[in-house]
Amino acid sequence: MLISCSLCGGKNDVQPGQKMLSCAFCGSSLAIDEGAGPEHLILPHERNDRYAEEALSSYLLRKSRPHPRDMKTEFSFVPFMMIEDEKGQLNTIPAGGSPPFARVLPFPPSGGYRFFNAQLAKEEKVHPLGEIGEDTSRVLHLPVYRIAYTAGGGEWEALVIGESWMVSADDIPPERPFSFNIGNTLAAAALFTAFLFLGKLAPGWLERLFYIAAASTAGFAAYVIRRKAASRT
Amino acid sequence: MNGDPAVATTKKRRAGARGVKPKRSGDYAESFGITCPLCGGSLRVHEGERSIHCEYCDSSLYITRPSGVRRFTMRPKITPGRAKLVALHYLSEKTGKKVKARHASIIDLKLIHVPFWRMRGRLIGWICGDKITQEKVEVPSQGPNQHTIYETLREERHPYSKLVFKHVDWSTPACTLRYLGLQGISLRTRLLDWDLFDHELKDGKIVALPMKGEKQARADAFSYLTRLTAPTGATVRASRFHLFDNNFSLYYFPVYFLRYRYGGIIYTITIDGCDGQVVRGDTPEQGAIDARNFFLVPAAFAFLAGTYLPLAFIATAAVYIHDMVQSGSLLAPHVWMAGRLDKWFGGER
Repeated sequence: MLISCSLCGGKNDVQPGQKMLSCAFCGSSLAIDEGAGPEHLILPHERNDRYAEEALSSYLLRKSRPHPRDMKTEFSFVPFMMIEDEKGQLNTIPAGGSPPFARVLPFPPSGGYRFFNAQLAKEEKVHPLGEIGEDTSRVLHLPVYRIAYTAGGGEWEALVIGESWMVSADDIPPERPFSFNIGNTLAAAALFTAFLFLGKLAPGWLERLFYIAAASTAGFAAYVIRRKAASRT
Repeated sequence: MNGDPAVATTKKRRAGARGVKPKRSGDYAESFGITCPLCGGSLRVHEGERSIHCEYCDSSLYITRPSGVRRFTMRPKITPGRAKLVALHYLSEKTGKKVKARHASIIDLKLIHVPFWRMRGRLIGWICGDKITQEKVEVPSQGPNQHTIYETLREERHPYSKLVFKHVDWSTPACTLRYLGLQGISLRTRLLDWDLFDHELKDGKIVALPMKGEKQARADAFSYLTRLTAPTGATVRASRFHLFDNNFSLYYFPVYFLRYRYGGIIYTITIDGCDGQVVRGDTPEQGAIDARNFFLVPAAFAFLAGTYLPLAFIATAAVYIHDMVQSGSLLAPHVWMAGRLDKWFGGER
């Protein structure tokens, strides 16, 4: 945004959050008064559907949920307003004009915020700002991916916030029933086979019990010693 | 000075200006200059500065408008390449060298400037309340056996009041740092390297927006000071503080934020931009197994199967029935088996 110097008339560029600047032409200090309404900012963002879909897949995988399929991604800049609550904390909530799928964000993404200019959206859809609360301290147009997907036999929807790649979803698919660790299970099966073979070498059931107990105790001790040595290093 | 009514105080005069309120978005806005109310000279004022001397008439002036705080930033001491190396070394170390650079694919590395509120000054004031002490006393029994003596705890309150003279240096994160893991950074130890925040440099920089306002940060600071000055185990009835040389500023601390992918999951590592230490690391869980189950269960089943094969099936059925009774619901055997194997060999989560 350009600010005209009241003394020499020179045009100076001003950045979000800036309340005072030194004129680049005459050097005088210029002040920007408060009370002109909340700052209206936009977070410029290069659309990248693949990153958003990977963020959603990672989110679901971490929660042991099924892999999302048939993902349909929409992208737009959604208006949010920052409002101070009773505890003095600023909350980021959807502003007037935001689409119905928008929801409260725990925090806005970090980024190179600029004063709002629709051209910074690079021809992507921008939801126009509607009414905002009186105590709004900032209005932010944030990049939001809306992803519809199928998983676990159902259809679901999630939002991914650009730049922070934070995933926000009201409902997610239920946990996968088959979520056991294949590597560990195969290792346990190999141990079972080894113990079974060892037991077959014994002449009677008492000797078998002794052989298998000794072998499993030795394995357990070796594992514990190795783990302690690794944690020490 | 654009016709501003300068208000004189006992020691200082107030400087300020009145002008057209600028638009805060759009392509163009107007500004107003700050001038000395006495001589009309143009003043050089930094953002957040409150007290200055006019360089023309040497008057002491107090800046009333605009408000704003001083902002500082620190240039990162390590390069992005170094940050990447530190992160990969950390990843390799934390996973027991099982996940190395070639296994993890780095998605991006960002330098983020994270804001902290900081209050510095000299605190003078007083505080009063009650100190609570507990001591053991021996009390004779009131019953028929009066010769018996038993011990009891007696609580005593002693009123106190004290004057407080203290140098204050307090800081708190100004934004949500949960995902960056920066709660532990101490600004106090890094006093010397701060530069004035240059808004023009901000263009292209990644800056986290402050989520805590100045008013709330000040309230938090004074609440902290009250707790700090009260004696241990005492209640505070009243207190009054004045902070001299009050310096309330916003500090932007540089951190590197690296995202990498491993096994389809995206993880993050945060690196201190100054000392190159990992502040918070998110690494793939190695699923440390429960060693007792890992050795005992195969051994038990091997013994049963080796002795008489149906015994292994009977034991499996017994565990199945036990689990169904415990959970109070009926699961399909294959679903139960998957869950049971995960419980035995799935590793810690």
